Amino acid sequence: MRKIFCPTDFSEQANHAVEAGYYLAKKFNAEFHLFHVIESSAHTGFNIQGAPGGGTDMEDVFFLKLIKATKRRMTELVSTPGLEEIQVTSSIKIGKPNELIREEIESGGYTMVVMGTKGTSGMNEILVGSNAERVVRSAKIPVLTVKEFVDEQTFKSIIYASTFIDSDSELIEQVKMLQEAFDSEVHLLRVNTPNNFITDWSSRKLMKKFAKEHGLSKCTFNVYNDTIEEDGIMYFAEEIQAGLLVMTTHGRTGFSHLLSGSIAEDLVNHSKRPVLTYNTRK
Amino acid sequence: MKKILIPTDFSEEAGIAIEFAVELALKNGLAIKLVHVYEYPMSSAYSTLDIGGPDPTESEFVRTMIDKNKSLLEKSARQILDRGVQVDHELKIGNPFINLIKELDSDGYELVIMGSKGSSGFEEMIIGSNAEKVVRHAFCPVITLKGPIKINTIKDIVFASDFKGDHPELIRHLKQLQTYFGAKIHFVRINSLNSFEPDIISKRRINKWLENQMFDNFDVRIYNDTDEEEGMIHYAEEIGADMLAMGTHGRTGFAHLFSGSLAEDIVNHVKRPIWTLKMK
Repeated sequence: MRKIFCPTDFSEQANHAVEAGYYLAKKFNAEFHLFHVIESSAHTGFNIQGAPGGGTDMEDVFFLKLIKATKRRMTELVSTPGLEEIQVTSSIKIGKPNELIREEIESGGYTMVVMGTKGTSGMNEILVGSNAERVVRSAKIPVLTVKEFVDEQTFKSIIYASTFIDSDSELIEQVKMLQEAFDSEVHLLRVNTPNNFITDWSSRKLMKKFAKEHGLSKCTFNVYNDTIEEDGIMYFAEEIQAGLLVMTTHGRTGFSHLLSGSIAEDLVNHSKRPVLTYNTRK
Repeated sequence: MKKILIPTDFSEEAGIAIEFAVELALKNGLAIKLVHVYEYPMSSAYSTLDIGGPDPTESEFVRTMIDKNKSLLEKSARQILDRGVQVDHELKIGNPFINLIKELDSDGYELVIMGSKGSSGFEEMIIGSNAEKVVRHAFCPVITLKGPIKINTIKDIVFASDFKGDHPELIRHLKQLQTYFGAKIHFVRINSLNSFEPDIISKRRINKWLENQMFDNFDVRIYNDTDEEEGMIHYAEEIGADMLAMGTHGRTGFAHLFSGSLAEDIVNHVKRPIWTLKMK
């Protein structure tokens, strides 16, 4: 883990992502890059004449003010007490957040994305639920999404949820790195649903084989039943008070649940755990 | 003094049951009643015209057999007495199953201990399929042994249930069982596709079920398998349990647990005793 990318909208959730990034960057001696996009279709697009710009004079004045304010906020963020302990860089871009974030992830040579989910409403809505999910689904590197306060303890109890049928080599490598760095407990978890039911006897075999194949020496084997996989993960996480959830997304739809909340969230008080995910669909 | 009933046919399996019962009786201050049921060999010679009983040679044979079994029974009882356990014995004639159930109804037994898996022929009258029959009808707990086992090796007992309903008798007997061996109880709900339930729901119910029972030395687990029997066997195997326990509803089934055929493929399979109680 050499270079961590952190898109921010300066919201509370984004700040929690900065906390998470801080612990990771510190442990792994990684560069931490803060990234903000000022949303504007006008100032990146072209007008009818083909000239850049396109806003009215009043809008231009307002926009310049906005850029100035944003720069100030970024400077403030970079100088957050504690961040001087790690190598922090930052950049601000103007345009469409989703596109620019994706471009930056693809071209910046990053090894991990750390981002908040559920941004504030209004103009800074870059990181709101669905946006985060889009990034998660398209990124080719591991993405850590953060909703609430994170500290070092968060990384000490990790749930790795999988069917243990596909081999998710890259993600399990991340888990092993975290385990080594934070001396974490790793809990392998298979959620049994009526549509995907196997016996515990078989689950154990699969998990044992998986642990052996990936050289996971210290981990527990767990099976949890629920009608919905995501709910099962959350209930189990609540039961053992885990810190971090790790799973692959396979690029399919579905984890909107974990990233933007669900019925289970109403029932479980602290389901808002950080989720480390990684799209295995190349 | 609380009593254990041992049905015997003088087979090796019955001997195993006696040894187990003697150890248990000595440890817990129990008495033993040894019962042999001589199944009267119904003559096929009865015809519609013949109103008489069995022919004289047959009666003679029966008398000899009964005398022989009586002395075997006395010998067994004496051996038990010599070990320092209070013992009573009785030879009954007729249908083994009916006689055993009658005996159980006539006296307050705490426990039945019996061997299973007899050899072929006569012995199968009492053991084998009869074991399961008794298990299904007795209103007191039955321990069925599938091989010799020392009582002091029984430290972990798996108790499977759906944890529905109130069963004070079952709880009382289960606690008694735990005391007999000083063992840990592993409560388990077997979750199968046919009885699928989210863990959050099962756990809530199980915790509520256990709340007022004041058990000591136990744990709780939900185990997934194709059916309850396989689940019990696999779970016992996984945690290295020494005995299986459950309440039955007097219905058929559980044949697997007794025959052990299911567990054949399990490595290091131990022939664990099975404790059952018919629920009213």
